[in-house]
Amino acid sequence: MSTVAPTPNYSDLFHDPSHEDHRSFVQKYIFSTDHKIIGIQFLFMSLLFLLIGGLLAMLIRWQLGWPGEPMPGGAALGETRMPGGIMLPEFYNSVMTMHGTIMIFFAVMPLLVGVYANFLIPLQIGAPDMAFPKLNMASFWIAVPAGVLMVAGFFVAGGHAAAGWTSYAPLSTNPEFTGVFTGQVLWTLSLIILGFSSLAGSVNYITTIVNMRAPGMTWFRLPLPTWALFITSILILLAIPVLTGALILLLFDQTLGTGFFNAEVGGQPLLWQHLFWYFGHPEVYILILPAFGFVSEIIANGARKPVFGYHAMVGAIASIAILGWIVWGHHMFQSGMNPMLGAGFMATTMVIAVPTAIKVFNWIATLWEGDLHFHSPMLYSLAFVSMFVIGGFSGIFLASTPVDIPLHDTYFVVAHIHYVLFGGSLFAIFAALTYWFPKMFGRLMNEGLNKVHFYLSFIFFNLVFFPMHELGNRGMMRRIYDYTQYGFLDGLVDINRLISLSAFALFAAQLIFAWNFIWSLFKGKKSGSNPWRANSLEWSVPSPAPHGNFTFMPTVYRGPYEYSSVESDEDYLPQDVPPAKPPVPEPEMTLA
Amino acid sequence: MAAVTKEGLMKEPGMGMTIGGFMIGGAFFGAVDGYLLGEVVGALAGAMVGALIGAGLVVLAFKPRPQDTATEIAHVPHANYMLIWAALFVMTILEVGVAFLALSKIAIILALLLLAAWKALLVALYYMHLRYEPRRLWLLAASPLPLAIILVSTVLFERW
Amino acid sequence: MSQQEAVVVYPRHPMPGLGVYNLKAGMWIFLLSEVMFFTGLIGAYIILRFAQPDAFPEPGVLLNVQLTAFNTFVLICSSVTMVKAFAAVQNGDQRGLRLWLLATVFLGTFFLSIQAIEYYLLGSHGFLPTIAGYAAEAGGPLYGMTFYTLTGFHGAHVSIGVLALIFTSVKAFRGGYTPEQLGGVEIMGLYWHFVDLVWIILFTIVYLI
Repeated sequence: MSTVAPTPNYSDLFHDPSHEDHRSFVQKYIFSTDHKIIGIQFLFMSLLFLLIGGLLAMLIRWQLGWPGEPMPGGAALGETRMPGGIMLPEFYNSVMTMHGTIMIFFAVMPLLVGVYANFLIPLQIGAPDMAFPKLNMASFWIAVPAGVLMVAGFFVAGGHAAAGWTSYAPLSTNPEFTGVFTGQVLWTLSLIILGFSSLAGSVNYITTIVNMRAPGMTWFRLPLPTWALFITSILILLAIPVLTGALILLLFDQTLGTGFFNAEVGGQPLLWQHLFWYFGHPEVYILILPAFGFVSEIIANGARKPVFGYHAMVGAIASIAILGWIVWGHHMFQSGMNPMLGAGFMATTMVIAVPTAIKVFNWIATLWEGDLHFHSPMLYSLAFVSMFVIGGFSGIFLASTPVDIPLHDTYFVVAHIHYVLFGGSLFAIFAALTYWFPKMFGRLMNEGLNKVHFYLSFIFFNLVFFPMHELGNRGMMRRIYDYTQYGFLDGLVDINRLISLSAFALFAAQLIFAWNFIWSLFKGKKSGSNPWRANSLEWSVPSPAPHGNFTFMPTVYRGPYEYSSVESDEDYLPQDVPPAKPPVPEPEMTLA
Repeated sequence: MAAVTKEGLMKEPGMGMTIGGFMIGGAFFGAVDGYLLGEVVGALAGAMVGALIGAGLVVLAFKPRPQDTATEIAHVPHANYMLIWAALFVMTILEVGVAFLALSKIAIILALLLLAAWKALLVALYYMHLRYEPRRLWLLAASPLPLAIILVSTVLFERW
Repeated sequence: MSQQEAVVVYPRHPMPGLGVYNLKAGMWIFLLSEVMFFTGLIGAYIILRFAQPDAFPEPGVLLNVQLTAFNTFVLICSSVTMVKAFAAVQNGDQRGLRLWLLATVFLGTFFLSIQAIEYYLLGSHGFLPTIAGYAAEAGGPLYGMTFYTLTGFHGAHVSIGVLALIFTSVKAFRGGYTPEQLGGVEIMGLYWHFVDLVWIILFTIVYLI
């Protein structure tokens, strides 16, 4: 190669192979400022919470499949929770509240953002680390006490929070209604603290993506995961403070004797709902947009084709994020708010289906006539597309206010939520975990086990959640401890039991993934730098990525989806490989 | 003591305003204090304390220098900070006045919100230097405003 | 691969991003989240006020508008001293930087102490943030709850600002800021002006409307 010898650009942060790494074990792995280690720290924390959330779901499914019957081993949970193995209604309320809270705030959100925003962003944009590495370290270590507080609630007198993950006032402010005081306060405090962690992270991600892209990495050469994480970070930045404000008001009502949500003194319960859902709807987009990004990346890789309509994909993510600010009332159709607002929210909610549909069509078009490789990340991503579409359809039903009247707060909503959050986000998380595992740990996961896990999960997932649409249609309400008390729901025990048995099988299937994950950490086949033959910058560094990421600041010459390009002998063409013809001399980079 | 000469005050109108402002402010504080405590002596003492503080600060740090009134500091353009200060001071007095005028509630609210927004804009554009920053930063800084307007206007619909 | 003939160019600077350095971009981005935080609280205030207009007395009846107007003036002055501090460090004027930073600390503390006095006077008049303690002039407890929450959180932000300013002043006294390395002063200034801005709006909404 007659290349000019590169002028090394060793800024403090880039990886200098001739330099020894003088950091201690604590500096490297415990109080690390390296974005990759922080991402892995978030990974282990959130996988633990995913397990806890899953166990809570098993408890729910026991009660719903065998209402009022003693659970084998249940007596071990104690007299206050399951005397003689029979679940108490108060405990059921706690379990369903904590299942939602933990899955949303401590599992899915950190897995999508805490892990992958941290791990991927500097690697994909060509930066040595985040803009504020110490703030990044703080953002993880602030999340830890939040997690501790949330777990502590299980062990206090009165049990854990029991007002639902949406914690509506006055159910959550008046301990007489749920029987829970300390647990509810701990719940509120924990989420306030977690909010600071998310906020610190989002400031870091936005600044890094805006200011630290490598030369040549224009906005429209960014890989879609980075685009998605960028827009998600903006949503976090602007939505979380509103939740924090609402939680503070809730905390004051719970502990200081104020009455913001207390109708008896002039407060407004509807105020809580407005503030919560103003945050809550952008929150659900926070939970899905990164998944869109990962799936786009992996589908292009698996089809060996560029993403169809890259600019439209970016535009769609941005439109969804913007529209997401004006749809929150669709969670409140039955709340008694001004009906004119209901009409407006119905319209905006239906509109938001359009950019989402654009994305789905683009994924299909990406696959069309592609050279399809069904590796396990690809399988998870394909399942994501179909299951997210199903979840989207049930969402359209719920978006229509009159249709929402019988369906609100029924299992139809539960089906919708889980199709988008499990069939959608969680499958995308599995895809991302298997896809970026080699870059994180330098080893490959066992493909065979992943495929077994995929098929079992896919089958049992649908067996669990599809029948819930029917349960909802027949009137089974959410968050209910004993539906058999209603005559018209008596016949639903069989369906619930089928769901529960499938749920136990689904949980068992996850153990396959867990085993594969842990085993591969130590015994997986060692991976090269680019096992998936992909184009983005993270695949140009060794696996696992070294501290400082790149030896030289990379220069980017093209977009990230040049698969099957005529310019390359291979079916991929990385972003940082110089073109065959000499480039036009780079103009001086100015601020203009 | 070069600051507190006639020439100094002429060159730096802001200086005079600062001294004057602190004296008036001190008087306010003292008067209010006296009003609350019912003591004339407290009121006078407050006024004197305010004036002393103001004069001291001004004398210690505020010598008239060309760069204070120059339109650029170290080749970076900026506004006349003291002029902005004066505007903010006057608008605050106006606000307090308007609040107690005998107009309809809606007119008062609109006038007050306009004044508050104008003051906020002055602080953001000139003290936070937005006026001289790249346009992209303007866009960034303005981005939460539509969201704030959406939340506030939607909750205005909810009247019981 | 057929790229052998390429001439490789290794420029040294990342893409021009926002056009401002990282620390400043980060602080602006953080301030946007603060805008949303206060928006949420002000939105709450608006809902509650519209729901029970009788629980909110006319301006000046319960709260001391003159005192708070003076306090507003103090905070505005502290913004001036802050911007003067920044101008000083831009010029390399270390003495000016230190003096103006100290002036800002003083004025910030002055603001907080007047607010503390105000809280004390209101509290002893029976005007408290809880349901139990509402003054006769207020028609109900909503006024107290919203007043103390809004001004209290603003005061908390001022307190954090004063603490940060003390750290900044200490570093300034050690000569830690130069015209090339003035990021710390600039972002401190941005935060402080923002706190002033929020107060301008809060003062209008809580005291005058």
